[in-house]
Amino acid sequence: MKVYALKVFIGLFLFFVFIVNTAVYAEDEKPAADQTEAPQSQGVQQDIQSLKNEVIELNRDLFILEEDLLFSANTQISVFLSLDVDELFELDSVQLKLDDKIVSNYLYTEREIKALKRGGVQRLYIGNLTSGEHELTAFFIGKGPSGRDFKRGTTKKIEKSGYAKYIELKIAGDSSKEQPDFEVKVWE
Amino acid sequence: MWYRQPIKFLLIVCISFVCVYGGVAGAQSKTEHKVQDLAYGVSLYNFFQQKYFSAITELLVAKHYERITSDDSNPSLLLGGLYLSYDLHKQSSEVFERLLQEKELEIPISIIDQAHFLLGKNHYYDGQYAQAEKQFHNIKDGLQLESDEEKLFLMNSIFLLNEDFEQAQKTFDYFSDESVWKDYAKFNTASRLIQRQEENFVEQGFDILDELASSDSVHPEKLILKDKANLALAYVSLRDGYSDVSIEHFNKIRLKGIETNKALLGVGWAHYREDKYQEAVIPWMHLASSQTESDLAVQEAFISIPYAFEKMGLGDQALHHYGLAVDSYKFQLNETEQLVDFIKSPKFIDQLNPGSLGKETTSAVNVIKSLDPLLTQYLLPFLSSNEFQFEAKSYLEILHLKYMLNHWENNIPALQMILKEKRKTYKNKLTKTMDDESLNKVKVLTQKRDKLEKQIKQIESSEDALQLATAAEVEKIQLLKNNEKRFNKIKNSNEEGAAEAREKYRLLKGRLQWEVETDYPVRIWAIKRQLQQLNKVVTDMNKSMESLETAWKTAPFEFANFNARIENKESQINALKKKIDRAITEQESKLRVMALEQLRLHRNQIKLYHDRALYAKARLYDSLMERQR
Repeated sequence: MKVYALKVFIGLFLFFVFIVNTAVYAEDEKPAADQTEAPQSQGVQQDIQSLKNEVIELNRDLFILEEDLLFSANTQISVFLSLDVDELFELDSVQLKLDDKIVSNYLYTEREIKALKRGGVQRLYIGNLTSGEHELTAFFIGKGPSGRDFKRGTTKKIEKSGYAKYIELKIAGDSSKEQPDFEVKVWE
Repeated sequence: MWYRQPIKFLLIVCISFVCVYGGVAGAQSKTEHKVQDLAYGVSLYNFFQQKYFSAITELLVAKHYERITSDDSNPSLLLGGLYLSYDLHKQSSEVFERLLQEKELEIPISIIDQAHFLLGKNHYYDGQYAQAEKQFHNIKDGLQLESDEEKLFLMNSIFLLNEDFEQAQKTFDYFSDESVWKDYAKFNTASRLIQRQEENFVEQGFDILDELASSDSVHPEKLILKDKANLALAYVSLRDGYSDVSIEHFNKIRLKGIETNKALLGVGWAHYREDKYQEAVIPWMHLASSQTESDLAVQEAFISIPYAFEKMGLGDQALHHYGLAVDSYKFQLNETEQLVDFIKSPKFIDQLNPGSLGKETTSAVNVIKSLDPLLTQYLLPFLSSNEFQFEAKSYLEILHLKYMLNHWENNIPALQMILKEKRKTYKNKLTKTMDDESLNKVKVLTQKRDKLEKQIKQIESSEDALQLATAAEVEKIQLLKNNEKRFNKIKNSNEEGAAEAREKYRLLKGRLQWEVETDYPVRIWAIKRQLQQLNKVVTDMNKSMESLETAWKTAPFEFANFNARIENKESQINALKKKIDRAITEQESKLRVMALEQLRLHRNQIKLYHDRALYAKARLYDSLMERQR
């Protein structure tokens, strides 16, 4: 019986050691412990890091290749969307037309809305336009401060020259106005 | 490594805060969004969704096209921070080092400090603690509070790694009072001091734990640390024979927390130690009836209950509970055996990747939700551990890389087709343009322009204003010329009216000439202006023609260049796909090995309890039989 009780208390002590060790909450960079298992694990991790960087570079090159091939600067048009509204306005979707042809219909997730509200800018559309005058029309649908559905639109004549055209559609407004609206900015 | 993600996320939030609101000075009542550059804004959009891969790519593409036009260093800071978040430390360090070397730029102190801080973090993660410390020392006072406290925490960790406990404890003075980082630093320092097992250090360690254990904060993370501190103090008091003190500490632990089971087990042992077996059984029975059977504290309670019953002299009940414990252990051994098969099967890996195609995963927290409930029941602490989360995240990241490569691989034929079409269309259009009459028209127009220019020069040199006469004037001049002979005939005539006619002729001719000559400067200016306009049109036309001709000549090379680029990328995709497939297999194997090892440890512990319960049951059975005889 005594032997058993001793075992239990040894177990208890080990349990305590276990608790203290696992409780080292923010400190797993212990040199001794980590370095023992390092070589293989570190090797795989390094391979993964290297792969990640290689794929990023390849992805960049392919994006550039795609843009060079499909959207050359003299015909390119890019439309961006940003949000400058307070918490009470919820964006649901945006529709974009170029010369009366729908080129983008976008439904937003909660995560995307949050990113837009924090100052992110979404590339809504990238395409090609011939030189000359064109008409851009955009609509957005959302919910206002008192849960009211909103639909607003804007139309802008744009002159496409031999350079890439960047257009920012900003949905701006606050609950005091109760009516967010589009602001269209053509970037040089 | 476990804390990298939350810490990094907080950090990068700070960076983005600086980035987005950097230009907005002072406190403003209304949040103002200013997008300095669209490409930078798009990168932020991805970053805010924790899509680091896309955010980095966006910045790199923007850099290639020179789309980021603002002069400040925020994009570099963001890029470095994104690399850090994506665990690409080398790339991150390079960005920050470059940024700090740009002495000629007037970089705000906040950006410099943030760069030093992030570079220091990079070094810290790479195990280069001296360099990390150096970077942290370079920071002046431009860090935001959250980053500053994290810096102090990392400094504390470096001192602990160097076993400089005095300096480690000095860092506590620089944290703000309500800082959670401070409590983490304190807990780590205490743990390290106790682990040294030298009286002086152990005492200091317990003093720090005492401070944490008596915290009155209601912050959730501080409460967890408070529980941990109380648990550690309670077990040490129990080990040293101070059962009452240990119970006091156990009682301070919340009933619904991650340390509850360990506390209940400990309370039982504290009572047991004081020979209060009945009181000891109560928390253990509570544990045994809980729904967390796979918890090792519960396993221990299973075997401790009959042991206490034995002490109370309740042999039958003890025998019954030994039986229950054996059954429970057997059941769990059976279940964990099934889990071993499950982990070895493809299902385990399938559940790690719940089919979110193309989703950029930066956290593996949600992975647990899709795993087999039995697995989470037994391995929840391991699955929630940072070690597993980090490896699972890496696995999901490689899957995303594979998805990206597949996406591009599928797009390559489309790019080739577009190139082919473009080449065909371009050739047709160009041939048409170069073959039709437009070439002749340009030539004719150029000749006309040259002729006109020559004429004007001649008029200017001869100052012959009559050449600039209008059509009506030319008609009149011609009329006068036609009648000149007739007037000459009557020049000396004394016929009636001859003198008058001669006078009229002279006056008309004189007036016409006077009008044309008086208007000469205006007319020559107007005609020169028209010539200028014509020159512009002709020049533009010639330029277009030259451009078309150049395009005609260079197009084949450009198309060949595109073709080469596509082929080059295609071969890179194929090479990388092989590497990625290998990495996926290795990572899957690593995750399996990790899970199996945890399960093995768990099973060993259950086996130990099982054997002990079996032995105790047999022993008790024998002694009861002996007594009956």
